Amino acid sequence: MPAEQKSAGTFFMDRYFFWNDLVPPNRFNGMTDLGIGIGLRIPHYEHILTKKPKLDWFEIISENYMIDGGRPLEVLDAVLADYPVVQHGVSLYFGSTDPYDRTHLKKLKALVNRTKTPFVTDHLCWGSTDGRFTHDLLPIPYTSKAVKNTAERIKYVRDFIEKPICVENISSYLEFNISELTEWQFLSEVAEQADCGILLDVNNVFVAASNHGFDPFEYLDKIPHERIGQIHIAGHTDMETYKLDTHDHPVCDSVWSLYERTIELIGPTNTLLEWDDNIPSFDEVHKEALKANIYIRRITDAFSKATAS
Amino acid sequence: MPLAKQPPAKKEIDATEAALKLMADLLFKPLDGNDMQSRHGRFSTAKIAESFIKPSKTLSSFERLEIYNRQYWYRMLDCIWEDFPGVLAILGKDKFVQLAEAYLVAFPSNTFALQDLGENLPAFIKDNPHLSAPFSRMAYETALVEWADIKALTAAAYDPPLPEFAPKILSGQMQLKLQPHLSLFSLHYAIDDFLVEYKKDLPLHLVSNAAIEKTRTSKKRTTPNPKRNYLMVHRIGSDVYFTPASRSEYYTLTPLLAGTTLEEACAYAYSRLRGCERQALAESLNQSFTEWTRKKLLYCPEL
Repeated sequence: MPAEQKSAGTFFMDRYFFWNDLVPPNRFNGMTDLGIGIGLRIPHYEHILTKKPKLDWFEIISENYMIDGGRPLEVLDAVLADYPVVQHGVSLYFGSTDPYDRTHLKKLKALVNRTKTPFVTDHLCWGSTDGRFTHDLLPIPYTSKAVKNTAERIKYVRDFIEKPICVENISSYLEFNISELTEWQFLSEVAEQADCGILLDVNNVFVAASNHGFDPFEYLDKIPHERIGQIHIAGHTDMETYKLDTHDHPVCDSVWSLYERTIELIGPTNTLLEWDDNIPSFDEVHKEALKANIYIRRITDAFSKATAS
Repeated sequence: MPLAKQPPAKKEIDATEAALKLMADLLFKPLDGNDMQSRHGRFSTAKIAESFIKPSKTLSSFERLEIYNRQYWYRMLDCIWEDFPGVLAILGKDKFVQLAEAYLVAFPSNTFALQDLGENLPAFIKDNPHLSAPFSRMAYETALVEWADIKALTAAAYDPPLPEFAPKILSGQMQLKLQPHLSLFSLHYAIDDFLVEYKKDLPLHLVSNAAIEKTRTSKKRTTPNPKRNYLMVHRIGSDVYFTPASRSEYYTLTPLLAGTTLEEACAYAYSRLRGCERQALAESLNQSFTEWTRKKLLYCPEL
């Protein structure tokens, strides 16, 4: 019987066992229960270093700190002294077919050793071919060959850096004629074959669902929940004929609905708000992120009532 | 646990890989104004797009691909735009965009680090003077200094040698090197004054994952003043400095950058300097050494 058709009591009892057994923490997020974080961004450096605001955790873009010296590393070290930090990358391109450059991976591993990140995340995408880099997160054709190639690359990186990996679903604006699987089937297959975690970006689910015409709630129901190690929330821009993942707005209600549904399915999980352009003050970004607590509380309260009755 | 094997390089290109390569070829093609080029060789880009991309309810295959083509070029051009504001000021917007596009076609990014994108721009300007004429030399020198500025921001910095090591260093018993963040230039224009003045009011450089077309505003076109000078670009702490150098400093430090010993560097400087400058070099070497150490420009690899 689908979860939606069960009585509230039965549904939450199922969830209870699931939450307790699987999330959080789990082996894909380094057994962490971090709470609600935001991305570490340059305009907030001064505020963070001088005010040391109360915050559960920061996510960093790994590539911004895979350098040899200078202010970014000084700031990072100061942040590491006060906050947990998780590394999020934009250049591992698990779906590309070029062999990995070991110098790149060595730099990533050096940063992993510096930050002590409990797990590493990057995107389910490709972005380079024949040694040329697009610096974009490009969609992969959802074929069984691509599943195999992607899973092999995830395993290779995980073994190299010796940290669990969670792959993030991306926002996309095109689909390939040769795709044999739906996006959630592809994500699930890759995660299973690589035995890795999932960083579920509910804004990306919403953007992709709008652009490709699938049901985002079906997507959430079909992916392997026990592999979700973290959730991303973010804002996007409506371009009239498609939606663009811009990370320059507050989170919209539709995305919050997907977030709430995800919490319902997997329990409260490491959550992070991404805000990368037109960045407002630290307090404003943090306040937007903490809205997640409204949905977490709504679900946990309903769960408590159901189990009490 | 043994390390997973690097996925083997494939001998044959399958359909999945072919789709990626085709998409990349189309993305790397420069925009025609704000639009994707309608032809790819002798074929219609729209027809090619239809052959491997599904249309959506609101967008054709071509329009869906065009989103990525635009994103690629907006992102790359924004990066060059923000890293080389001085070259932009000299050339003006239209000429600068032409130069940047030609550069990106010749030197697409070949590393994961977007901050390295402009590494070859100075040499590209030098090798293609027609793209920046009649300001080629000043554009080249400005690009050199702007790239050195970017490099200095994130290069390594090692602890300078303690004063007690000076005798060993001066006698050649210990090797001395210049910090990786330091660059030295012999210039024909006052690039330092020009950049400091021009960059005073520029907005903070931020890079976002999503690239959308931004209104690129540049201040009025302006050029550096002619002035024969020597310049060091280096970092102290986390700040990058433009420090004027003397002729003797330039000719002493340049060979050190190339890896010579201090003794060889001094001999080289001596050979390049005139009579009175030679005298000054001999008299000021200790003082210069102290100043370089104070500015943490030197380090000893052995320490």
